[in-house]
Amino acid sequence: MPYLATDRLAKPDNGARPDDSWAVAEAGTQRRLVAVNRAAERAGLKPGMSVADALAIRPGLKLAPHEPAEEDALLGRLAEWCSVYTPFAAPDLWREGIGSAGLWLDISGCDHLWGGEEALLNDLTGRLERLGFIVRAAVADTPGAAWAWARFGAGGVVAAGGAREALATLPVSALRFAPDVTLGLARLGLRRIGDLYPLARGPLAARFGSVVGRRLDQALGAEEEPISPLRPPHSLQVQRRFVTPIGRSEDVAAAVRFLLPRLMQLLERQQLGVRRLDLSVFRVDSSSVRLAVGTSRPTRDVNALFRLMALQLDGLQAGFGIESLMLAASVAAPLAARQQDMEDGESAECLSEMLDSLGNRLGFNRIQAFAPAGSHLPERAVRRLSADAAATALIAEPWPDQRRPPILLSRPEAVAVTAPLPDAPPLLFRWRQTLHRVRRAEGPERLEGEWWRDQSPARDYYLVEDEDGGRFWLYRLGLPGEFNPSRWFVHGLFA
Amino acid sequence: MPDLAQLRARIGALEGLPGLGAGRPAGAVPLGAAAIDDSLPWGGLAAGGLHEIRAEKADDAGAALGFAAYLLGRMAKARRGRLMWLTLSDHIHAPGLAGLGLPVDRLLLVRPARTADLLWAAEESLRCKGVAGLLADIDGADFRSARRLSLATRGSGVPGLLLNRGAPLGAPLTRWQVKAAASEATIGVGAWRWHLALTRCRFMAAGEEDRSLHWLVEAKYAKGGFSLVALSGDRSVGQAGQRRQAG
Repeated sequence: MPYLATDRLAKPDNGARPDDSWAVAEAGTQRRLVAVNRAAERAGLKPGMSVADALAIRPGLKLAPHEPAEEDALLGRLAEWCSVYTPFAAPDLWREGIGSAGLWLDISGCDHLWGGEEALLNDLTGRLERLGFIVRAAVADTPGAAWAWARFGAGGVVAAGGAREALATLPVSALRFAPDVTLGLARLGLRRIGDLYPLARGPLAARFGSVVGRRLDQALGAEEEPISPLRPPHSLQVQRRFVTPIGRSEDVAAAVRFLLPRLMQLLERQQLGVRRLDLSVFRVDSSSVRLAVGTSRPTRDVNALFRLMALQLDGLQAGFGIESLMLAASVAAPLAARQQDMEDGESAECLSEMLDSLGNRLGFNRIQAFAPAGSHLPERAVRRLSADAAATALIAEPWPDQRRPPILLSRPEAVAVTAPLPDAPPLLFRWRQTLHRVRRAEGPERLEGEWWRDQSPARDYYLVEDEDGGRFWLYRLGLPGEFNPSRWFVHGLFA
Repeated sequence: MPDLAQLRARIGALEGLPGLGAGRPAGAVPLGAAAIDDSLPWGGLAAGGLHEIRAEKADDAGAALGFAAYLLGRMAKARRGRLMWLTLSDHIHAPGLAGLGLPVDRLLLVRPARTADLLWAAEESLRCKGVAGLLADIDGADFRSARRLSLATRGSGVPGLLLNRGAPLGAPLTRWQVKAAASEATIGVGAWRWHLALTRCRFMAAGEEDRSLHWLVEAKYAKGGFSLVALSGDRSVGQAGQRRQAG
């Protein structure tokens, strides 16, 4: 995609006319062009030219700042969309020389679905062109050869085994060398890839390192070059493509309903259940979205999963239409034929469904259960268990016998008190602008942190009741008289 | 009077409200204090309904939460399944809840970030028959949300408690106002005492729906757990029994 940087901006829906000249310039004092579109190129503009020169040549030039991150993001989205063609699709972030932006697709074993390599290529380029991108594409035996043929050759399909011949006349820079390597090879009179074929590898490696030999081998298929896909493909996935793009959410829901039982069949064969379900939605404008739902335990329940997914479908924007849906069990776990549970079947099932739906909307970390922790300090006396653990019935563990408040302030609040003696409960205290007269009190209960965890002072806790019946958990920091004046805090509210 | 009572029962049945008239419905959750249970048309808190609990003053927040936790514990005793506690804040302390008779091992805390999410989660939970009882700590609710919660609880029979700091709601079947009361003990602080006011109860006898009933109660540890004892109230059991027959 040689003009990605400018095509991105000069899209027809931005009100751009096809014959406008566009250029992308880097920010800063130098202000040099980074990329130009075809019209600007015809007018004689080149990347590397200063902005002032460019404007002199082409006064109507439309300039935009260079945003590499945006371009990469766009490329990433396009690559994601390309998983319509193959699970192995990745953006090419090679940034040296011309024709930087590109996409890798490993179509081994996928082309027959489209009626051959040629047909697949035509479909791909046709779609990208309709979106306003100028595309050059090639299919070859190796990624290296396809890269070279798309950028420097005629494009199209290189017949199997024909790479050596096809590449021979291309410039050496088609092998993805850094500019200094290309320049060095040129100084030796090596301008075409064919010039490299007869040479001994030893001297080349001594001069340029292993890169020359490796790239050549990669292009000709002597060395493997895997394409690392955006995401590893799932074997547990099903796809549905639509002849006419769909847009209504009912249609999407119906398609999900159609796909779910098929995915469950795949899972059932392997005795697996879904823990996480991904729905990839491919739109006609080459954008895609992924919706994901998680479950608190492995399941193959089509209805439950459908309900969870339906919650996510509400916010789905169909855009210009959806042409394909892919449903994948991205996380699966063994699921035995029948589940054992301590609670009754039906109500346990509805409970786990309900927790799943809560977890998916609110986040599973927002559902917690409690268990006693072995600490004396109130703020550490409770262990919070995750939704996962909470979904199964807990063993009842005993809580301490002492009276504890049902409300514990997340941070103890300092109060001014009147206490007759350092080791006596207060008579009066002022908390949140209200004066409380203590009528009854119980304590002290001395609580200390574990010596191996911290050295914070001990606390003497008192349960006090004011004249209105308000009951508070107060503590004095330190041993009696350790702090002068003594420091008091409200830590909890009793029932 | 009987005609009116029959009419009320029929309206209740049409509205799908928990069973009335024909003795104590099986779904009711008794509070454990006979004087109070006998005053309620259902012989306790109706299972398929909402019940609102309010603190009389801001200072009574602890007492109101304590009473609500106690009621949730009673639901756990009467029904199977999990207990749900929904709140935006993070200050409930499990050992303190356990001390109010709430089986913490059956409790799930849900902490949404926004009120809208909390109300949605409450509705989802109330629809689920695997829930023994639910408590939602809210700061008021709009009419529509409260109505939705009420419909959800009617459909499933799961009782819901709304610990409400905001404006009083119209949807709940009962509304309780809680005020801390001074305890009694020769030494130290005695058992928790609360002033309870039942300020609203649907299907009370004619003319009494808006009349509050008051009790002073004490939360007692006794054999078999925690229970509530009504120390004084403005109704005797006999009168309440007659009224239940009527309405």
